[in-house]
Amino acid sequence: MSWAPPRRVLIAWAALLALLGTTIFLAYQPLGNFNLAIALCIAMAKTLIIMAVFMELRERSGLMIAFAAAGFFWLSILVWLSGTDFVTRPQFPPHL
Amino acid sequence: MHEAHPAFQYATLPQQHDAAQLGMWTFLATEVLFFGGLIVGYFVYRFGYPADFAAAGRHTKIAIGAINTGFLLTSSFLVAWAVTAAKLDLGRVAAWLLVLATLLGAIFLVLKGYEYLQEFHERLVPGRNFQFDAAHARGALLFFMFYFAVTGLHALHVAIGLIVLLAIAARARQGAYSLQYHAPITVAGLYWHFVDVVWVFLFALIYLPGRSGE
Repeated sequence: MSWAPPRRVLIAWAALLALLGTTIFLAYQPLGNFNLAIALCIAMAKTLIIMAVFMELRERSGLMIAFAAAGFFWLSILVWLSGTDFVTRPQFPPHL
Repeated sequence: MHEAHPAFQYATLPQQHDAAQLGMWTFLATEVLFFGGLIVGYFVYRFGYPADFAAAGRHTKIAIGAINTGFLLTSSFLVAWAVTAAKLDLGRVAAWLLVLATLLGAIFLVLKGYEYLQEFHERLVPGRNFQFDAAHARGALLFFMFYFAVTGLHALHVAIGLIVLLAIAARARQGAYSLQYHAPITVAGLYWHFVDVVWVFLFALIYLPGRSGE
């Protein structure tokens, strides 16, 4: 069957659905602040699978991967600098 | 099958494909910052009002959110499959896969609309009929402002993606793509997968907070 989906694409799909089930199950466990950390880690794992397999980045050159990573790099600067601001304010959120 | 030639400004087809893909990745970088900026705003206020965000998160419809996530992941899978089929000169298979992916995207939008309707009836729409228990109202209002803004912008991206996928499906059906020439279907796929990635993060930030009780 030449039209059948490639194995790696099929496995990536199954892994994504399994991660979706996992993240929902873990969200209902009382883990305190770890709930958010786990949810974000699973979201990042899903993103890496989508980018590597569905977006075929694993077959692309370093230049292409650099272009793909650039947006996330700038976003990390935004998160970092915004974070240092709000986390270090003596009063946040402000009282009204 | 007509022979594919590069556009006049390119020396070869692979060079043309690389240029097309770099262009799409550059556009997607701006999209990362567009949605990323909104998400940073979300984190600032979640940090400020953790209990309010948990209370608000419990009011979102996780069943619809989970089903919609499954549909988007599956439609992304179908698009990835369609790209590989197009490279094997299986234009009709690729076209059908793209139509299926479009159908899942359309169901996503219908379910999203149904979710909005329920939230309207539950008085969760800021600026329109927002009512929430007084202890958590301030942060919950910010949560639902973020919710409607970001899911609305995402839905717009999905709607644009549906049009793009259908246009590409029509071209694929005519046998326009092959191992030598497939830049349009590959680039359209990149856009659709990106819309999927955005939703993966939105799902985690909107539907999962507060589920463990607290």
